[in-house]
Amino acid sequence: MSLIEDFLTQFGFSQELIEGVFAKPGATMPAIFLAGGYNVNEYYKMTGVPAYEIVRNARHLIKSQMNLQYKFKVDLLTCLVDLNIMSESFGAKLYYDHDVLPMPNKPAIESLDDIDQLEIPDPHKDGRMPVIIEAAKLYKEKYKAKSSLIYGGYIEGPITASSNILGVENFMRGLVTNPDLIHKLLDKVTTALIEFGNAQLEAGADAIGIAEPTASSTCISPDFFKEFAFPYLKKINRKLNTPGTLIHICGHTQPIIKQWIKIPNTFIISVDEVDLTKTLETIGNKFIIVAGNISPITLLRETPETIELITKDIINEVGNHGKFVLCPGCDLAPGTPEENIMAFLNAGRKYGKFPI
Amino acid sequence: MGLIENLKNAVIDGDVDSAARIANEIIDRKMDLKNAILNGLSAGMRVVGKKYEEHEYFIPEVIVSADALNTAFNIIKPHFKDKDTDYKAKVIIGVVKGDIHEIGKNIVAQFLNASGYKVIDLGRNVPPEKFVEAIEKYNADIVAMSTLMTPTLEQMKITIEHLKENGLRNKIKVIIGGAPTDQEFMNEIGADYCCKDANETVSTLDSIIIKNEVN
Ligand SMILES: [Zn+2]
Repeated sequence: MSLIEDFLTQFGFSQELIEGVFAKPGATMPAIFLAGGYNVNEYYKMTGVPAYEIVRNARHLIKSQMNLQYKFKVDLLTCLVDLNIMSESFGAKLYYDHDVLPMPNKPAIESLDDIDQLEIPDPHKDGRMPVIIEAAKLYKEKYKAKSSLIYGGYIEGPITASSNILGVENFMRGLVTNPDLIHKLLDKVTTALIEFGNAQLEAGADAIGIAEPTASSTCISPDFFKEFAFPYLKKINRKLNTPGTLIHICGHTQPIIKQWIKIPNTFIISVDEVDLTKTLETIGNKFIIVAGNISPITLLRETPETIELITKDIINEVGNHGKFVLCPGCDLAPGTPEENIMAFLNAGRKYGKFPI
Repeated sequence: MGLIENLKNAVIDGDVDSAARIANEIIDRKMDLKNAILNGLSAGMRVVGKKYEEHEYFIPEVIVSADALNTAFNIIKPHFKDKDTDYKAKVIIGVVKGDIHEIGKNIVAQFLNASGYKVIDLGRNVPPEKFVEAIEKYNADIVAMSTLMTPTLEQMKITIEHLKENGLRNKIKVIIGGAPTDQEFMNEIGADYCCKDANETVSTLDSIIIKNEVN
Protein backbone atom coordinates (compact mmCIF):
# COMPACT_ATOMS: atom_id res chain seq x y z
CA MET A 1 0.00 0.00 0.00
CA SER A 2 2.67 2.50 0.90
CA LEU A 3 4.38 1.86 -2.44
CA ILE A 4 1.21 2.85 -4.20
CA GLU A 5 0.83 5.87 -1.95
CA ASP A 6 4.35 6.91 -2.90
CA PHE A 7 3.40 6.42 -6.50
CA LEU A 8 0.36 8.68 -6.15
CA THR A 9 2.30 11.29 -4.20
CA GLN A 10 4.63 11.62 -7.18
CA PHE A 11 1.72 13.02 -9.15
CA GLY A 12 0.82 15.46 -6.39
CA PHE A 13 -2.04 13.47 -4.86
CA SER A 14 -2.84 14.95 -1.45
CA GLN A 15 -3.22 12.68 1.58
CA GLU A 16 -6.95 13.37 1.51
CA LEU A 17 -7.20 12.34 -2.11
CA ILE A 18 -5.19 9.16 -1.51
CA GLU A 19 -7.49 8.19 1.36
CA GLY A 20 -10.45 8.85 -0.90
CA VAL A 21 -8.98 6.64 -3.60
CA PHE A 22 -8.49 3.84 -1.05
CA ALA A 23 -11.98 4.28 0.45
CA LYS A 24 -10.56 4.84 3.95
CA PRO A 25 -13.21 5.42 6.64
CA GLY A 26 -13.81 9.13 7.06
CA ALA A 27 -12.56 9.99 3.57
CA THR A 28 -14.75 11.05 0.66
CA MET A 29 -14.99 9.57 -2.82
CA PRO A 30 -12.95 11.97 -5.00
CA ALA A 31 -14.32 13.69 -8.07
CA ILE A 32 -12.39 14.71 -11.17
CA PHE A 33 -13.27 16.39 -14.44
CA LEU A 34 -12.52 16.14 -18.08
CA ALA A 35 -13.46 19.55 -19.30
CA GLY A 36 -12.25 21.39 -22.36
CA GLY A 37 -15.19 22.51 -24.47
CA TYR A 38 -17.08 23.59 -21.37
CA ASN A 39 -14.18 25.62 -19.97
CA VAL A 40 -13.48 27.42 -23.20
CA ASN A 41 -17.15 28.25 -23.73
CA GLU A 42 -17.57 29.52 -20.13
CA TYR A 43 -14.44 31.64 -20.40
CA TYR A 44 -15.70 33.12 -23.66
CA LYS A 45 -19.04 34.01 -22.05
CA MET A 46 -17.27 35.51 -19.05
CA THR A 47 -14.57 37.54 -20.80
CA GLY A 48 -15.69 37.91 -24.41
CA VAL A 49 -12.39 36.45 -25.59
CA PRO A 50 -13.39 34.29 -28.58
CA ALA A 51 -12.73 30.55 -28.46
CA TYR A 52 -10.38 30.70 -31.45
CA GLU A 53 -8.15 33.02 -29.44
CA ILE A 54 -8.40 31.09 -26.16
CA VAL A 55 -7.16 27.89 -27.79
CA ARG A 56 -4.22 29.69 -29.37
CA ASN A 57 -3.13 31.62 -26.31
CA ALA A 58 -1.62 29.81 -23.31
CA ARG A 59 -2.50 32.57 -20.85
CA HIS A 60 -6.19 32.48 -21.74
CA LEU A 61 -6.16 28.72 -22.01
CA ILE A 62 -4.76 28.08 -18.55
CA LYS A 63 -7.09 30.71 -17.06
CA SER A 64 -10.07 29.03 -18.70
CA GLN A 65 -8.97 25.71 -17.17
CA MET A 66 -8.23 27.07 -13.70
CA ASN A 67 -11.59 28.80 -13.70
CA LEU A 68 -13.26 25.42 -13.35
CA GLN A 69 -11.03 24.52 -10.46
CA TYR A 70 -11.83 27.76 -8.63
CA LYS A 71 -15.52 27.42 -9.23
CA PHE A 72 -15.97 23.77 -8.37
CA LYS A 73 -12.90 22.88 -6.29
CA VAL A 74 -12.10 19.69 -8.18
CA ASP A 75 -9.04 17.62 -7.34
CA LEU A 76 -7.68 16.74 -10.72
CA LEU A 77 -8.02 18.45 -14.02
CA THR A 78 -6.99 17.28 -17.43
CA CYS A 79 -6.29 20.21 -19.65
CA LEU A 80 -8.27 18.79 -22.52
CA VAL A 81 -8.84 21.14 -25.39
CA ASP A 82 -9.92 19.69 -28.73
CA LEU A 83 -8.70 16.47 -30.32
CA ASN A 84 -7.08 18.08 -33.35
CA ILE A 85 -3.82 19.23 -31.82
CA MET A 86 -1.69 16.55 -33.45
CA SER A 87 -3.51 16.49 -36.79
CA GLU A 88 -3.21 20.28 -37.09
CA SER A 89 0.50 20.03 -36.31
CA PHE A 90 0.82 17.51 -39.15
CA GLY A 91 -0.92 19.94 -41.50
CA ALA A 92 -4.66 19.36 -41.15
CA LYS A 93 -6.92 22.43 -41.46
CA LEU A 94 -9.53 23.21 -38.83
CA TYR A 95 -12.67 25.30 -38.54
CA TYR A 96 -12.24 27.88 -35.79
CA ASP A 97 -15.35 29.37 -34.21
CA HIS A 98 -15.98 32.06 -31.60
CA ASP A 99 -17.77 30.02 -28.96
CA VAL A 100 -16.80 26.37 -29.44
CA LEU A 101 -13.63 24.29 -29.82
CA PRO A 102 -12.11 23.99 -33.29
CA MET A 103 -13.30 21.15 -35.52
CA PRO A 104 -11.64 19.20 -38.35
CA ASN A 105 -12.05 20.75 -41.78
CA LYS A 106 -9.46 19.21 -44.09
CA PRO A 107 -7.20 16.28 -43.18
CA ALA A 108 -3.41 16.55 -43.48
CA ILE A 109 -3.31 13.92 -46.23
CA GLU A 110 -6.07 12.75 -48.54
CA SER A 111 -4.77 9.24 -49.12
CA LEU A 112 -2.67 6.59 -47.42
CA ASP A 113 -0.27 6.81 -50.38
CA ASP A 114 0.80 10.22 -49.12
CA ILE A 115 2.12 8.98 -45.77
CA ASP A 116 5.71 9.58 -46.77
CA GLN A 117 4.93 13.28 -47.17
CA LEU A 118 4.13 13.54 -43.48
CA GLU A 119 6.91 15.04 -41.43
CA ILE A 120 7.04 14.58 -37.70
CA PRO A 121 6.17 17.99 -36.25
CA ASP A 122 8.24 19.85 -33.67
CA PRO A 123 6.28 20.22 -30.39
CA HIS A 124 7.91 23.60 -29.74
CA LYS A 125 7.07 25.00 -33.14
CA ASP A 126 4.20 23.40 -34.97
CA GLY A 127 0.46 23.95 -34.71
CA ARG A 128 -0.88 24.67 -31.25
CA MET A 129 1.52 22.30 -29.48
CA PRO A 130 3.58 25.25 -28.19
CA VAL A 131 0.39 26.72 -26.65
CA ILE A 132 -0.40 23.53 -24.75
CA ILE A 133 3.21 23.27 -23.55
CA GLU A 134 3.22 26.91 -22.50
CA ALA A 135 -0.03 26.36 -20.56
CA ALA A 136 1.67 23.58 -18.57
CA LYS A 137 4.57 25.93 -17.87
CA LEU A 138 2.24 28.71 -16.70
CA TYR A 139 0.46 26.22 -14.44
CA LYS A 140 3.74 25.31 -12.80
CA GLU A 141 4.88 28.91 -12.40
CA LYS A 142 1.66 30.56 -11.31
CA TYR A 143 -0.82 28.07 -9.94
CA LYS A 144 0.89 24.92 -8.73
CA ALA A 145 2.05 26.23 -5.36
CA LYS A 146 -1.34 27.75 -4.62
CA SER A 147 -3.49 24.76 -5.38
CA SER A 148 -3.85 21.10 -4.48
CA LEU A 149 -4.88 20.44 -8.04
CA ILE A 150 -3.23 17.77 -10.14
CA TYR A 151 -2.76 19.22 -13.56
CA GLY A 152 -2.78 16.79 -16.44
CA GLY A 153 -1.43 17.76 -19.79
CA TYR A 154 -2.84 15.70 -22.59
CA ILE A 155 -2.21 14.07 -25.90
CA GLU A 156 -4.60 12.43 -28.29
CA GLY A 157 -4.39 8.70 -28.57
CA PRO A 158 -2.71 7.27 -31.69
CA ILE A 159 -5.97 6.14 -33.33
CA THR A 160 -7.74 9.44 -32.63
CA ALA A 161 -4.82 11.55 -33.86
CA SER A 162 -4.15 9.39 -36.94
CA SER A 163 -7.81 9.34 -37.96
CA ASN A 164 -7.85 13.14 -37.92
CA ILE A 165 -4.62 13.26 -39.93
CA LEU A 166 -6.00 11.00 -42.66
CA GLY A 167 -9.69 11.88 -42.26
CA VAL A 168 -11.83 9.56 -40.16
CA GLU A 169 -13.59 7.84 -43.05
CA ASN A 170 -10.37 7.09 -44.94
CA PHE A 171 -8.74 5.91 -41.75
CA MET A 172 -11.59 3.53 -40.96
CA ARG A 173 -11.53 2.21 -44.52
CA GLY A 174 -7.76 1.77 -44.36
CA LEU A 175 -8.02 -0.41 -41.25
CA VAL A 176 -9.73 -3.01 -43.45
CA THR A 177 -8.20 -2.41 -46.86
CA ASN A 178 -4.63 -1.37 -46.06
CA PRO A 179 -3.54 -2.35 -42.56
CA ASP A 180 0.19 -2.15 -43.39
CA LEU A 181 0.06 1.51 -44.32
CA ILE A 182 -2.18 2.24 -41.33
CA HIS A 183 0.51 0.73 -39.09
CA LYS A 184 3.09 2.91 -40.79
CA LEU A 185 0.96 5.99 -40.10
CA LEU A 186 0.33 4.98 -36.48
CA ASP A 187 4.02 4.45 -35.94
CA LYS A 188 4.88 7.92 -37.17
CA VAL A 189 2.10 9.57 -35.19
CA THR A 190 3.08 7.67 -32.03
CA THR A 191 6.59 9.11 -32.21
CA ALA A 192 5.15 12.62 -32.47
CA LEU A 193 2.72 12.03 -29.58
CA ILE A 194 5.51 10.83 -27.29
CA GLU A 195 7.60 13.92 -28.02
CA PHE A 196 4.61 16.19 -27.40
CA GLY A 197 3.67 14.46 -24.14
CA ASN A 198 7.21 14.60 -22.83
CA ALA A 199 7.46 18.28 -23.71
CA GLN A 200 4.37 18.97 -21.56
CA LEU A 201 5.80 16.98 -18.66
CA GLU A 202 9.07 18.81 -18.94
CA ALA A 203 7.23 22.14 -18.95
CA GLY A 204 5.32 21.40 -15.75
CA ALA A 205 2.35 19.10 -16.22
CA ASP A 206 1.91 16.75 -13.24
CA ALA A 207 0.60 13.94 -15.39
CA ILE A 208 -0.57 13.12 -18.89
CA GLY A 209 -4.05 12.21 -20.02
CA ILE A 210 -4.51 10.36 -23.29
CA ALA A 211 -7.80 10.90 -25.12
CA GLU A 212 -8.54 7.98 -27.41
CA PRO A 213 -12.30 7.98 -28.16
CA THR A 214 -11.87 6.72 -31.72
CA ALA A 215 -10.50 3.42 -30.40
CA SER A 216 -13.75 2.67 -28.52
CA SER A 217 -16.00 -0.21 -29.48
CA THR A 218 -18.48 2.40 -30.66
CA CYS A 219 -16.07 2.93 -33.56
CA ILE A 220 -13.78 -0.08 -34.05
CA SER A 221 -13.94 -3.75 -33.11
CA PRO A 222 -12.16 -5.14 -30.05
CA ASP A 223 -9.94 -7.08 -32.50
CA PHE A 224 -8.89 -3.85 -34.19
CA PHE A 225 -8.28 -2.29 -30.78
CA LYS A 226 -5.90 -5.12 -30.03
CA GLU A 227 -4.14 -4.85 -33.38
CA PHE A 228 -4.07 -1.10 -34.01
CA ALA A 229 -4.49 0.71 -30.67
CA PHE A 230 -2.91 -1.48 -28.02
CA PRO A 231 0.69 -1.70 -29.33
CA TYR A 232 0.95 2.05 -29.83
CA LEU A 233 -0.66 2.98 -26.51
CA LYS A 234 1.78 0.57 -24.90
CA LYS A 235 4.70 2.26 -26.62
CA ILE A 236 3.47 5.71 -25.61
CA ASN A 237 3.06 4.72 -21.96
CA ARG A 238 6.52 3.15 -21.92
CA LYS A 239 8.22 6.14 -23.50
CA LEU A 240 6.52 8.99 -21.66
CA ASN A 241 8.66 10.28 -18.81
CA THR A 242 6.00 9.68 -16.20
CA PRO A 243 5.19 6.66 -14.04
CA GLY A 244 1.64 6.41 -15.34
CA THR A 245 -1.07 7.94 -17.49
CA LEU A 246 -4.80 8.49 -17.48
CA ILE A 247 -6.41 7.02 -20.57
CA HIS A 248 -9.84 8.30 -21.55
CA ILE A 249 -11.92 6.29 -23.98
CA CYS A 250 -15.54 7.35 -24.17
CA GLY A 251 -18.38 5.55 -25.87
CA HIS A 252 -18.86 1.80 -25.53
CA THR A 253 -15.75 0.09 -24.08
CA GLN A 254 -16.86 -2.97 -22.13
CA PRO A 255 -15.39 -5.41 -24.69
CA ILE A 256 -11.94 -3.78 -24.54
CA ILE A 257 -11.51 -3.27 -20.79
CA LYS A 258 -9.38 -6.43 -20.51
CA GLN A 259 -6.99 -5.20 -23.21
CA TRP A 260 -7.05 -1.63 -21.98
CA ILE A 261 -5.89 -2.48 -18.47
CA LYS A 262 -3.01 -4.52 -19.89
CA ILE A 263 -1.45 -1.36 -21.30
CA PRO A 264 1.55 -0.91 -19.03
CA ASN A 265 1.71 2.18 -16.79
CA THR A 266 -1.98 2.91 -17.06
CA PHE A 267 -3.11 4.19 -13.68
CA ILE A 268 -6.48 5.81 -14.36
CA ILE A 269 -8.99 4.62 -16.93
CA SER A 270 -11.69 7.17 -17.63
CA VAL A 271 -14.76 5.24 -18.77
CA ASP A 272 -18.11 6.16 -20.24
CA GLU A 273 -20.65 3.49 -21.23
CA VAL A 274 -19.61 0.54 -19.08
CA ASP A 275 -20.93 -1.61 -16.27
CA LEU A 276 -18.87 -0.39 -13.29
CA THR A 277 -19.23 -3.57 -11.25
CA LYS A 278 -17.98 -5.72 -14.12
CA THR A 279 -15.19 -3.27 -14.90
CA LEU A 280 -13.91 -3.24 -11.31
CA GLU A 281 -14.14 -7.03 -11.25
CA THR A 282 -12.07 -7.28 -14.43
CA ILE A 283 -9.40 -5.05 -12.92
CA GLY A 284 -9.31 -7.16 -9.77
CA ASN A 285 -6.17 -6.62 -7.72
CA LYS A 286 -4.36 -4.48 -10.26
CA PHE A 287 -3.73 -0.93 -9.15
CA ILE A 288 -5.79 0.94 -11.71
CA ILE A 289 -8.23 3.66 -10.73
CA VAL A 290 -11.53 3.77 -12.56
CA ALA A 291 -12.97 7.24 -13.24
CA GLY A 292 -16.61 7.32 -14.22
CA ASN A 293 -19.22 7.53 -15.42
CA ILE A 294 -22.07 10.00 -15.32
CA SER A 295 -23.01 10.92 -18.88
CA PRO A 296 -22.26 14.50 -19.99
CA ILE A 297 -25.65 14.40 -21.75
CA THR A 298 -27.28 13.71 -18.38
CA LEU A 299 -25.34 16.61 -16.88
CA LEU A 300 -26.42 18.87 -19.72
CA ARG A 301 -30.08 17.97 -19.89
CA GLU A 302 -31.39 16.49 -16.66
CA THR A 303 -32.51 18.26 -13.49
CA PRO A 304 -30.25 18.61 -10.42
CA GLU A 305 -32.55 16.14 -8.59
CA THR A 306 -32.10 13.44 -11.23
CA ILE A 307 -28.36 14.05 -11.34
CA GLU A 308 -28.16 13.65 -7.58
CA LEU A 309 -29.99 10.32 -7.82
CA ILE A 310 -27.83 9.02 -10.68
CA THR A 311 -24.64 10.03 -8.85
CA LYS A 312 -25.93 8.35 -5.71
CA ASP A 313 -26.56 5.17 -7.70
CA ILE A 314 -22.99 5.21 -9.01
CA ILE A 315 -21.65 5.68 -5.47
CA ASN A 316 -23.80 2.87 -4.11
CA GLU A 317 -22.81 0.55 -6.93
CA VAL A 318 -19.10 1.03 -6.28
CA GLY A 319 -19.53 1.24 -2.51
CA ASN A 320 -16.37 0.71 -0.49
CA HIS A 321 -14.45 -0.97 -3.29
CA GLY A 322 -11.97 1.88 -3.64
CA LYS A 323 -9.75 2.62 -6.66
CA PHE A 324 -12.64 4.68 -7.99
CA VAL A 325 -13.22 8.37 -8.59
CA LEU A 326 -16.36 10.12 -9.79
CA CYS A 327 -16.00 11.65 -13.23
CA PRO A 328 -18.21 12.53 -16.19
CA GLY A 329 -17.99 9.93 -18.98
CA CYS A 330 -16.50 12.53 -21.31
CA ASP A 331 -15.74 16.22 -21.73
CA LEU A 332 -18.40 18.42 -20.08
CA ALA A 333 -20.68 19.87 -22.75
CA PRO A 334 -20.59 23.65 -23.25
CA GLY A 335 -23.57 25.26 -21.56
CA THR A 336 -23.96 22.54 -18.89
CA PRO A 337 -25.92 24.33 -16.14
CA GLU A 338 -23.79 25.18 -13.12
CA GLU A 339 -26.45 23.83 -10.73
CA ASN A 340 -26.18 20.46 -12.49
CA ILE A 341 -22.42 20.30 -12.02
CA MET A 342 -22.92 21.32 -8.40
CA ALA A 343 -25.59 18.62 -7.98
CA PHE A 344 -23.09 16.02 -9.20
CA LEU A 345 -20.26 17.25 -6.95
CA ASN A 346 -22.53 17.74 -3.92
CA ALA A 347 -23.99 14.26 -4.31
CA GLY A 348 -20.42 12.96 -4.20
CA ARG A 349 -19.70 14.89 -1.01
CA LYS A 350 -23.06 13.93 0.54
CA TYR A 351 -23.27 10.21 -0.27
CA GLY A 352 -19.62 9.47 -0.93
CA LYS A 353 -18.42 9.46 2.70
CA PHE A 354 -16.68 6.20 3.53
CA PRO A 355 -17.82 3.74 4.68
CA ILE A 356 -20.75 3.86 2.28
CA MET B 1 -30.72 -15.93 -58.16
CA GLY B 2 -27.01 -16.81 -58.11
CA LEU B 3 -25.66 -13.44 -59.22
CA ILE B 4 -28.05 -11.44 -57.06
CA GLU B 5 -27.07 -13.53 -54.05
CA ASN B 6 -23.40 -12.98 -54.92
CA LEU B 7 -23.98 -9.24 -55.17
CA LYS B 8 -25.60 -9.29 -51.76
CA ASN B 9 -22.63 -11.18 -50.35
CA ALA B 10 -20.13 -8.79 -51.96
CA VAL B 11 -21.88 -5.95 -50.10
CA ILE B 12 -21.89 -7.89 -46.83
CA ASP B 13 -18.17 -8.71 -47.22
CA GLY B 14 -17.30 -5.16 -48.30
CA ASP B 15 -15.71 -6.60 -51.43
CA VAL B 16 -15.62 -3.61 -53.80
CA ASP B 17 -13.98 -5.48 -56.71
CA SER B 18 -16.47 -8.34 -56.68
CA ALA B 19 -19.38 -5.92 -56.35
CA ALA B 20 -18.20 -4.06 -59.47
CA ARG B 21 -17.62 -7.26 -61.42
CA ILE B 22 -21.03 -8.70 -60.52
CA ALA B 23 -22.83 -5.41 -61.24
CA ASN B 24 -21.30 -5.33 -64.74
CA GLU B 25 -22.25 -8.94 -65.31
CA ILE B 26 -25.83 -8.23 -64.26
CA ILE B 27 -25.98 -5.47 -66.84
CA ASP B 28 -24.39 -7.58 -69.58
CA ARG B 29 -26.94 -10.29 -68.97
CA LYS B 30 -29.74 -7.71 -69.06
CA MET B 31 -31.08 -8.91 -65.75
CA ASP B 32 -33.83 -7.13 -63.79
CA LEU B 33 -32.03 -4.15 -62.26
CA LYS B 34 -34.72 -3.30 -59.76
CA ASN B 35 -34.40 -6.82 -58.41
CA ALA B 36 -30.61 -6.40 -58.27
CA ILE B 37 -30.94 -3.20 -56.24
CA LEU B 38 -33.61 -4.48 -53.87
CA ASN B 39 -32.59 -8.10 -53.37
CA GLY B 40 -28.88 -7.64 -53.94
CA LEU B 41 -27.67 -4.26 -52.72
CA SER B 42 -30.42 -3.29 -50.35
CA ALA B 43 -30.76 -6.75 -48.86
CA GLY B 44 -26.98 -6.91 -48.36
CA MET B 45 -26.93 -3.57 -46.62
CA ARG B 46 -29.74 -4.71 -44.32
CA VAL B 47 -27.59 -7.62 -43.21
CA VAL B 48 -24.69 -5.21 -42.66
CA GLY B 49 -26.94 -2.99 -40.56
CA LYS B 50 -28.00 -5.97 -38.50
CA LYS B 51 -24.41 -7.06 -37.95
CA TYR B 52 -23.59 -3.51 -36.82
CA GLU B 53 -26.49 -3.55 -34.40
CA GLU B 54 -25.29 -6.85 -32.97
CA HIS B 55 -21.70 -5.55 -32.56
CA GLU B 56 -20.37 -8.00 -35.08
CA TYR B 57 -19.53 -5.16 -37.47
CA PHE B 58 -18.11 -1.79 -36.50
CA ILE B 59 -17.60 1.45 -38.42
CA PRO B 60 -14.69 0.22 -40.62
CA GLU B 61 -16.62 -2.85 -41.80
CA VAL B 62 -19.76 -0.78 -42.46
CA ILE B 63 -17.73 1.73 -44.50
CA VAL B 64 -16.22 -0.89 -46.81
CA SER B 65 -19.66 -2.48 -47.23
CA ALA B 66 -21.06 0.93 -48.15
CA ASP B 67 -18.15 1.30 -50.61
CA ALA B 68 -19.13 -1.98 -52.28
CA LEU B 69 -22.77 -0.89 -52.34
CA ASN B 70 -21.92 2.49 -53.87
CA THR B 71 -19.63 1.03 -56.49
CA ALA B 72 -22.26 -1.43 -57.68
CA PHE B 73 -25.05 1.15 -57.42
CA ASN B 74 -23.15 3.65 -59.57
CA ILE B 75 -22.57 0.99 -62.22
CA ILE B 76 -26.22 -0.03 -62.26
CA LYS B 77 -27.83 3.42 -61.95
CA PRO B 78 -27.21 4.74 -65.49
CA HIS B 79 -28.87 1.63 -66.92
CA PHE B 80 -31.88 1.98 -64.71
CA LYS B 81 -34.58 3.21 -67.07
CA ASP B 82 -37.14 4.35 -64.53
CA LYS B 83 -38.25 7.96 -64.63
CA ASP B 84 -36.82 10.49 -62.22
CA THR B 85 -40.16 10.57 -60.45
CA ASP B 86 -40.02 6.88 -59.67
CA TYR B 87 -38.74 7.06 -56.13
CA LYS B 88 -40.45 6.58 -52.81
CA ALA B 89 -39.85 10.11 -51.48
CA LYS B 90 -37.39 12.98 -51.55
CA VAL B 91 -35.16 13.24 -48.52
CA ILE B 92 -32.99 16.19 -47.54
CA ILE B 93 -30.19 14.99 -45.28
CA GLY B 94 -27.41 16.78 -43.41
CA VAL B 95 -25.29 17.08 -40.28
CA VAL B 96 -26.39 20.14 -38.30
CA LYS B 97 -24.40 23.33 -37.88
CA GLY B 98 -21.37 23.06 -35.64
CA ASP B 99 -20.76 19.37 -36.28
CA ILE B 100 -18.61 17.76 -38.94
CA HIS B 101 -19.06 14.07 -38.09
CA GLU B 102 -20.67 12.75 -41.23
CA ILE B 103 -19.82 9.06 -41.48
CA GLY B 104 -23.15 8.04 -39.93
CA LYS B 105 -25.06 10.46 -42.14
CA ASN B 106 -23.25 9.21 -45.27
CA ILE B 107 -24.16 5.63 -44.47
CA VAL B 108 -27.80 6.54 -43.89
CA ALA B 109 -27.80 8.43 -47.21
CA GLN B 110 -26.38 5.40 -49.03
CA PHE B 111 -28.93 3.06 -47.43
CA LEU B 112 -31.77 5.38 -48.43
CA ASN B 113 -30.41 5.70 -51.95
CA ALA B 114 -30.21 1.96 -52.40
CA SER B 115 -33.69 1.57 -50.93
CA GLY B 116 -35.38 3.71 -53.55
CA TYR B 117 -35.30 7.20 -52.05
CA LYS B 118 -34.08 10.32 -53.79
CA VAL B 119 -31.52 11.75 -51.41
CA ILE B 120 -30.25 15.31 -51.45
CA ASP B 121 -27.19 15.38 -49.24
CA LEU B 122 -26.31 18.82 -47.85
CA GLY B 123 -23.12 17.53 -46.22
CA ARG B 124 -21.91 18.62 -42.80
CA ASN B 125 -22.02 21.78 -40.71
CA VAL B 126 -25.37 22.70 -42.33
CA PRO B 127 -27.01 25.88 -40.95
CA PRO B 128 -30.83 25.95 -40.49
CA GLU B 129 -31.31 28.34 -43.44
CA LYS B 130 -29.66 25.81 -45.76
CA PHE B 131 -32.12 23.12 -44.70
CA VAL B 132 -35.04 25.49 -45.33
CA GLU B 133 -33.65 26.55 -48.69
CA ALA B 134 -33.14 22.96 -49.85
CA ILE B 135 -36.59 21.81 -48.69
CA GLU B 136 -38.19 24.61 -50.71
CA LYS B 137 -35.96 24.15 -53.73
CA TYR B 138 -36.45 20.39 -54.02
CA ASN B 139 -39.98 20.29 -52.64
CA ALA B 140 -38.79 17.56 -50.28
CA ASP B 141 -40.98 15.20 -48.29
CA ILE B 142 -38.60 14.40 -45.50
CA VAL B 143 -35.73 16.14 -43.75
CA ALA B 144 -33.17 14.07 -41.84
CA MET B 145 -30.75 15.76 -39.44
CA SER B 146 -27.93 14.20 -37.48
CA THR B 147 -25.27 15.07 -34.96
CA LEU B 148 -22.73 13.04 -33.03
CA MET B 149 -22.12 15.66 -30.39
CA THR B 150 -24.11 16.93 -27.43
CA PRO B 151 -23.50 20.68 -27.83
CA THR B 152 -24.93 20.71 -31.34
CA LEU B 153 -28.22 19.08 -30.32
CA GLU B 154 -29.58 22.59 -29.88
CA GLN B 155 -29.17 23.16 -33.65
CA MET B 156 -31.86 20.55 -34.35
CA LYS B 157 -34.32 22.54 -32.28
CA ILE B 158 -33.30 25.77 -34.02
CA THR B 159 -33.71 24.16 -37.43
CA ILE B 160 -37.23 23.00 -36.56
CA GLU B 161 -38.05 26.53 -35.43
CA HIS B 162 -36.83 27.77 -38.81
CA LEU B 163 -39.12 25.27 -40.53
CA LYS B 164 -42.06 26.63 -38.54
CA GLU B 165 -41.21 30.25 -39.30
CA ASN B 166 -41.09 29.43 -42.99
CA GLY B 167 -44.41 27.58 -42.94
CA LEU B 168 -42.77 24.26 -43.80
CA ARG B 169 -43.19 22.27 -40.62
CA ASN B 170 -46.57 20.74 -41.51
CA LYS B 171 -45.49 19.86 -45.02
CA ILE B 172 -42.54 17.74 -44.05
CA LYS B 173 -41.57 14.86 -41.77
CA VAL B 174 -38.58 15.56 -39.55
CA ILE B 175 -36.26 12.70 -38.68
CA ILE B 176 -33.35 13.05 -36.29
CA GLY B 177 -30.48 10.71 -35.53
CA GLY B 178 -26.99 10.43 -34.05
CA ALA B 179 -25.55 9.18 -30.77
CA PRO B 180 -26.96 11.80 -28.34
CA THR B 181 -30.52 11.80 -29.78
CA ASP B 182 -33.39 9.84 -28.26
CA GLN B 183 -37.21 9.71 -28.19
CA GLU B 184 -37.34 12.10 -25.25
CA PHE B 185 -35.27 14.70 -27.07
CA MET B 186 -37.35 14.12 -30.22
CA ASN B 187 -40.53 14.96 -28.29
CA GLU B 188 -38.87 17.93 -26.63
CA ILE B 189 -37.96 19.59 -29.92
CA GLY B 190 -41.04 18.42 -31.83
CA ALA B 191 -39.38 16.15 -34.40
CA ASP B 192 -41.41 13.26 -35.85
CA TYR B 193 -39.02 10.35 -35.62
CA CYS B 194 -35.71 9.46 -34.02
CA CYS B 195 -33.76 6.66 -35.68
CA LYS B 196 -30.76 4.93 -34.17
CA ASP B 197 -29.16 3.63 -37.36
CA ALA B 198 -29.47 3.33 -41.12
CA ASN B 199 -31.66 0.22 -41.07
CA GLU B 200 -34.11 1.85 -38.71
CA THR B 201 -34.19 4.99 -40.85
CA VAL B 202 -35.12 3.00 -43.95
CA SER B 203 -37.81 0.98 -42.15
CA THR B 204 -39.19 4.12 -40.52
CA LEU B 205 -39.42 5.95 -43.82
CA ASP B 206 -40.95 2.90 -45.48
CA SER B 207 -43.60 2.78 -42.78
CA ILE B 208 -44.39 6.48 -43.32
CA ILE B 209 -44.80 5.81 -47.03
CA ILE B 210 -47.07 2.84 -46.37
CA LYS B 211 -49.19 4.94 -44.04
CA ASN B 212 -49.32 7.43 -46.89
CA GLU B 213 -48.22 10.21 -44.66
CA VAL B 214 -46.23 11.77 -47.45
CA ASN B 215 -47.68 12.43 -50.88
ZN1 LIG C 1 -14.63 11.56 -24.48
